[in-house]
Amino acid sequence: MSRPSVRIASAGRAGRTGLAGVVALLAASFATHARAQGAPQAPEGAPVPRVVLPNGLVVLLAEDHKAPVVGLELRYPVGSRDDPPGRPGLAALTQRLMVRATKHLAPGQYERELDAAGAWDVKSTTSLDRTEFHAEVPADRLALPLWLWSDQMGFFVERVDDKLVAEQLAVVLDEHTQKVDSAPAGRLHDLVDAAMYPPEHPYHGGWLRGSTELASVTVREVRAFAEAHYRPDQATLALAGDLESVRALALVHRYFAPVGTAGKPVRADGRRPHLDREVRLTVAAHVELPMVMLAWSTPPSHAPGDAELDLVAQILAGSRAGWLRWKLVDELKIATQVTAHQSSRELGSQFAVEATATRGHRPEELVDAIDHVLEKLRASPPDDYATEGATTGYLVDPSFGLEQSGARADRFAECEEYRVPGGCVEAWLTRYTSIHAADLTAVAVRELPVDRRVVAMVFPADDAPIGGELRDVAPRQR
Amino acid sequence: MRRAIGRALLVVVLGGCSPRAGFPAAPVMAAPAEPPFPGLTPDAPFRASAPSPDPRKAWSPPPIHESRLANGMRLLVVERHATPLVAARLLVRGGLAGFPSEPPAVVEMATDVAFHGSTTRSEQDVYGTMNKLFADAGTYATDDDVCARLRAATTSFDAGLVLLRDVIVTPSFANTVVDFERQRRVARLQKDGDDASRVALRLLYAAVYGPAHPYARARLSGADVLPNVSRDELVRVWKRVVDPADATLVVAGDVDPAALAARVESLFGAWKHDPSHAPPPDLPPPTPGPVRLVVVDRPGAVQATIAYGATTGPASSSSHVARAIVHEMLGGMSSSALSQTLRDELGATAFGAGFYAWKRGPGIAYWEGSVDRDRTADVLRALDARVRELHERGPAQRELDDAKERFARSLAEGFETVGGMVEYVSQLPTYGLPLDEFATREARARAVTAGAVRAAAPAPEAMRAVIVGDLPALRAQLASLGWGLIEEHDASGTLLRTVTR
Repeated sequence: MSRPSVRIASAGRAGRTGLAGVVALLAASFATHARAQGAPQAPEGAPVPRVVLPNGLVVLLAEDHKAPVVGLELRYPVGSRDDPPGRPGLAALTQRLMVRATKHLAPGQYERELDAAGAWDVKSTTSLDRTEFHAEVPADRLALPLWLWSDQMGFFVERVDDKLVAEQLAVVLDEHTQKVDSAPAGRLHDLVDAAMYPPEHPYHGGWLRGSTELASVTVREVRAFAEAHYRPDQATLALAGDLESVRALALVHRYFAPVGTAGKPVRADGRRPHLDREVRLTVAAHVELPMVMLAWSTPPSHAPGDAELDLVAQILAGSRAGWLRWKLVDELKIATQVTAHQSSRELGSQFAVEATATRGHRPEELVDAIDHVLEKLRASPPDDYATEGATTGYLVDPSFGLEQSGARADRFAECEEYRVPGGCVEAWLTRYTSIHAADLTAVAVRELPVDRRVVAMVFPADDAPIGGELRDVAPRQR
Repeated sequence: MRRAIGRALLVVVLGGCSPRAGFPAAPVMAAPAEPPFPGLTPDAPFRASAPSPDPRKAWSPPPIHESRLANGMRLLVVERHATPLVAARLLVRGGLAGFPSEPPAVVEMATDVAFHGSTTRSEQDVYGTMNKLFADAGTYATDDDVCARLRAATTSFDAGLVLLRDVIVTPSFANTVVDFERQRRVARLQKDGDDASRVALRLLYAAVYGPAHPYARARLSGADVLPNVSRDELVRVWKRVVDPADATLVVAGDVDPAALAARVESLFGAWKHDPSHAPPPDLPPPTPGPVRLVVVDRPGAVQATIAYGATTGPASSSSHVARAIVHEMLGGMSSSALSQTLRDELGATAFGAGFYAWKRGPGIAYWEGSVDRDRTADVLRALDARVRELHERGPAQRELDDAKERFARSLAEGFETVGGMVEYVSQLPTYGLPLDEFATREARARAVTAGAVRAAAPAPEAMRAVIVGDLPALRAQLASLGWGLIEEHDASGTLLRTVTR
């Protein structure tokens, strides 16, 4: 079939096709800069205009007027890894409490104000490494999230009390039950994290650690934790979309500049663990089918190898033609599903392959087949078709997603967090499009060895909990 | 005033604050009038209440250009040049529920397989083309449509549209792809029962629509037909459900509508309407049974998954906007009274939410979430009380105002991206809505009264509940509700008995 010859695009857009051309076009399109006279400009080498308030708050302003919408993201470098000893879940509880009530906001008012303003994509999340508050609002309501979030930053500690803690504790414990205890083999990830990261490592026990110890947490502990971590000198506030930079900066200044801090923050630290053998976990769970999870300790987020492993995961299981899917599901018919992902973390990432067996097949068969596929990747690089497919498959959705102002605010905040030099969007896209097939083989050889990893095998058992329980741990020498 | 602020801030911007180490020097702000208090933030009167909105910027949905090809295919185009992106969706009315004689699982499989090659393109060529174009494309089926979607940069869009045309008009249904897809689907069936939410929704659809209704059948797993489905069967089903007379191409983004219309005519004009093709018939009314409570056993589960809902009218009916606002109050808004009661007062669930599935035929509104097993009856009582309150007394004014504002202003968000625009405009052909739907939607939302909400709220007696949880632990709680008959199913979903509590 002949290729099209009629141009249907509007004037001035023709010319660049192909992966590199399109990526460059998108990078240029989303690398927004303020144009208004008198507005702060992006400093040389920085992705967007950036201002540091006297109290240390970093403010990023990406002005454009594509739609009457502003996306906002406030990030704090505090996550579950910072939970104090004996208080797993405190970071998640504190984040929930900050949304529930502050000095000038009655319980429930935070959500009501945003709903009534027509806000959307309202999220507040706590991961291992960070806490994020996110919203998109109509352009005329830009001040609202600034008011809400500055009240959290400056006036939460004065408001929190026993009643609020008890109320939100129930919600956090329910979340833990739902995600871990009630999900089929829901404890698997925590068990693998506990085997991969040593007890003194902040990731030991995973993102949603056991929650019973949290039940006795006091208001005093919550206050101390909040004062130590949710502070302007640690936070980044990113605004993107239909704003006037000068006016937006005035609002940010009004709400956030008076917020004070005391002392110095201390983050939980640790190094990427280096396994010296394979560890095998035997897990029993009340599930229908056997499962396996193979996990490797891999380079930290944004370190060399991290992006390559994103593409390795894409090649293995990111598409219908993923190598693992093809081998385990189509050819051998021993698995109902296979996934692979690089979970990027600041203190050492984790690459994991997970598979669920078809009825009548054992976890050991899955492990052997996964090893066979990985050996092929270690032995020879994928062809250009597979590599290009992995790059496109990994980048296409988040690239087009940058059209949304909230996604741009999120991306710019991430660039700030990881000190990405130069054009933020361009650097992110180039990081992936510059990866070659040989790089994927090299990273597989270096980071996914067969003899240094955690292998967890889940066996169905009617007498076991749905979330699963550890039945055996065995170091394995090869 | 704004200029004054600008001048003041320009001075501020040129002041002296130090950037963090390792980052280029940045424009910075001078210290504020009073220095920060160490560990203490001074209060101020402006913090006492929410800031007033700025003057609202004028915004209205962009115009929709409509045209029709000689073969009956409709074209809807929204022009926007803010970014060099174009999105498209080719919709064919009918979908999983539109053709009662066709098994929905086979329609869904045919839709997936269609994307994997045409008479002129191998599967490898399809994916290779997408990779080279850096395009996002695929096919999928909903209850009411068979769809092909595309997002691409402006420069790649035309080639992407050709790809879309090829897989929809001349799919090859290659035997190798059919064999793989069949095997994958059959394998997935083995895991079907692990997903409590899916099990709950499947049984809720059966309870509120009646098990034979097309929308209820569309939720079935297909275990009875998938193992033996052949290539010939997929070809026959595709011919039955896909025809240009039922098709609409929606395009939004950086295109010239006139040039696009000509190009679409040249690409799709040869797609012939089959004179024997019958359009999808109207959907029948729901026929819910008398049982209000359905329980599926999940031995040992410490939580119960609840799906609680009822059917509503079609998306094209005049009360649709009022129903959408009712939905906000039944858990669509996270600040709704229902959400606050369940989450913050009862502490029963962190993730429950309300959903409203718009449909060409009767829609469905439901609340779904996992709750502490021992609070199951408390949650069901709270859900029932809220529905009863809306139906009998109507909403509180403040909650109604919030819900109206949220719904009215959601349009601007929907139209922020080209993908969002296509999604919104696709509602027109899917649900049979008029071209001025979006131009008038905000005004219609603001005109909804408490009385209209009362009238649009479902009757408590119409609500059905499905609970997936540990049956022995739930029996006494559910009996205490006094909701009459209770169906009990085993873990596989097989009906064990119907009891009166």
